[in-house]
Amino acid sequence: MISQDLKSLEEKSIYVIREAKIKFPKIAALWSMGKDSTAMLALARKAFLGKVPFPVIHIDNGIDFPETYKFREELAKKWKLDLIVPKSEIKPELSGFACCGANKTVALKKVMKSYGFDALIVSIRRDEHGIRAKERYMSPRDKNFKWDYKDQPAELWDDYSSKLDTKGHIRVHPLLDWNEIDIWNFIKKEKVPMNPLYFARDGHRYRSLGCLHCTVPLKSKVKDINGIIRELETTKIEERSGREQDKEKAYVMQKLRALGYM
Amino acid sequence: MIIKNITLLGHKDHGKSTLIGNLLIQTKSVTPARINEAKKTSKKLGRQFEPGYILDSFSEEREQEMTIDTTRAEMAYKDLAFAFIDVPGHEELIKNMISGASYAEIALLMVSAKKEEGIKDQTKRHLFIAKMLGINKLIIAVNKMDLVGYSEDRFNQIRKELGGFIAKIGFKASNFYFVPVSAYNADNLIKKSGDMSWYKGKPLVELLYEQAKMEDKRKSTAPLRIVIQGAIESGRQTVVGKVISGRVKTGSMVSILPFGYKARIESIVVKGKKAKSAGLSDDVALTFESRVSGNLRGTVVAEGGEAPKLTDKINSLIFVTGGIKKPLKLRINGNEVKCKALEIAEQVDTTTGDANEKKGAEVLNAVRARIVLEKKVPIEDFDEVKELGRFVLYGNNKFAGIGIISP
Amino acid sequence: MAKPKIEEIAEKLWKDQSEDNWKILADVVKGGNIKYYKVFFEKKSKLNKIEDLRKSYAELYDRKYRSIVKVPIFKKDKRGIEGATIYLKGLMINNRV
Repeated sequence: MISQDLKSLEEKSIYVIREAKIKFPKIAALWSMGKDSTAMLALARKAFLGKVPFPVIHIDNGIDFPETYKFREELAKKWKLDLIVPKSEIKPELSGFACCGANKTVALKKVMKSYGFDALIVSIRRDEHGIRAKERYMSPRDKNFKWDYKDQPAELWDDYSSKLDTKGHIRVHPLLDWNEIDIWNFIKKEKVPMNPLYFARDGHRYRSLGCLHCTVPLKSKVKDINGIIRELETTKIEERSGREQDKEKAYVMQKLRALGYM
Repeated sequence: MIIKNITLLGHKDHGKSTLIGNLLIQTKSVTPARINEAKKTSKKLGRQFEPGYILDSFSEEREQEMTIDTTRAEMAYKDLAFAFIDVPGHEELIKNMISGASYAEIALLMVSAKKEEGIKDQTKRHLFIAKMLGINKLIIAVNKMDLVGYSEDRFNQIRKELGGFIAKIGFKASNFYFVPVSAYNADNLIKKSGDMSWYKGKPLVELLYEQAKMEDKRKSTAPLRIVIQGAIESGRQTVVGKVISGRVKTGSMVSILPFGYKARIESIVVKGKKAKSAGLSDDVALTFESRVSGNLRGTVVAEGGEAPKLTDKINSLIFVTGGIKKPLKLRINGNEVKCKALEIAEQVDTTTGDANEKKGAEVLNAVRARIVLEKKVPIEDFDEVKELGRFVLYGNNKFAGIGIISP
Repeated sequence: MAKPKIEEIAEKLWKDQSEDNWKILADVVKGGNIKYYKVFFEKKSKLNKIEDLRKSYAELYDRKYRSIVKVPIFKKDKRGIEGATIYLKGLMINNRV
């Protein structure tokens, strides 16, 4: 994984966060207490003279790691965060407690509506998942939170979506360009407080954090940030190349080629 | 590591993925494991392995059932990293092509030397858009040289035909290079090819490196310009923005445009830390010795040089992507301004660079137009200060085009 | 008033997952000899049934990783039940088991 130049990444993210706050005064951020959204808050503090200038939302399904709750409490106090914690609604017909499921969306919709937020900062990265390669820095969602990825507004230079084309809201993605390793380089440089679960104890650590139910640890002896960075520089590629490739995927790629990509 | 974004341009079968695949292999940016895996997959599918399949495995991870906007592959070379961004060639996806390419600094154009392939309209249109987006550096890889017997004549023929067009649309001779390659055989990618001793230039990756290293010196020595995003309140008035040229220092007397009044810089904060000065591309938070009034969004802080022009009448070249319908709005440097009038002087064919007699605004073509705005904004010529010389046009709240300001 | 023993409050919690009982547990955990926890979910459950959360539990361990007691991981509220791992705050996950 290539480490990128932090100076330009920070400049871009700070620019985007400031644009978002200035364009959409009624903005909030999602905070999962994971590395990405915590790094984003650190960037927001840099952009706004030491203060996070918007409320942060943690959608709580009640079964997060106790360490995560502790971390939430400590950092919220230290950084004087305006923390909003809507409870994830439990509806058996939806996806239950699973933290990425529909219940969280229901809770988020509710909180966005009751506070009247028209923009939401989400700390996704392009290297996380295929579909995210299509995201824009500012990307409209309709009133049902649906994303029309096929017909997004153009986004070029430093010009971002300004108006809500629908009755929905704008998702803001200030970390879109960052790689996983860049996040850790930044955390190291800025001494950003981190959830202890990322560091190995008894031979295991967590690479990304969801709730207790959906998160599994990986075997690792890495106990500090330098170790994580080294681990990502070396083991990451091997981990990926071990993935199963199947005919179907190869076929899909062929189809895409036929459509004129690559 | 500094990553330089390179946008890939060119027609779909002219070898883009083979080229990038082989560059990744030759620079060891992919592991042997991945190469083996791609080989195995090809075998399973009953096809002969070729370097482009390396990218398939990247893309397969990225994309499953959905059509791609842009794909990205990263490669390290010497002290730099390159991110190759492939943009869709489809004309109906021009909006996505523009979005993907607008962040690139260098364009890499692929043209097949094969007779039945060669230079296409789309090839030229992409070059035209790249120039309008502000991409000034261009490498043209004339590919499939192995299939034309490494013919110098064929290479020169393409260079002549395309070179004229490239110069006509405004690329400077020192910023574009032709290189004959065979992406499949890795000829002239990293090492010079023995089969083309007539080619005296550098291999492709060296050309990219050279262009990437060429800094825009003018920008750091140019007069100070800061585009202001707006004001934030934090005890006292603080304005935030980005330095687009020159340097700002505490104690300097600067002008705030379009208001025209002056103010002295009291403090500067860069990335959350106090600083005595700030330079190119820095994010800044500024305080002035006395409070400045007015809505500061879209204003420009300037010192020295010839001040940006304040005007409500601009001459422009617009690449048309949608309907030029009322109400027309222009987004320029954070300002959203209504157009009182837009008068088309001539249409420019984006595949020839020539004006024609038609006066209409057809999608995928360009027009020269005179625009009258509802209020005055600070602007500069695109060739002088890019950030203040370009705009996005909206017609009836839909993306209608990108424009650059010409004298 | 002396703090109740962890076993006692755990037993109470299995009968009644009220907020009051949970607060007592949180208090006992704080400064007690419990150091680690591990949550066991109902096997193969996607947690799409409330019942599954009722059957899942957390095992609590002392500083030598000795298993001390099992507690539920939900609490009752007005409308139903919700997760309650926040009351285990201060403990660390047991990666050994």
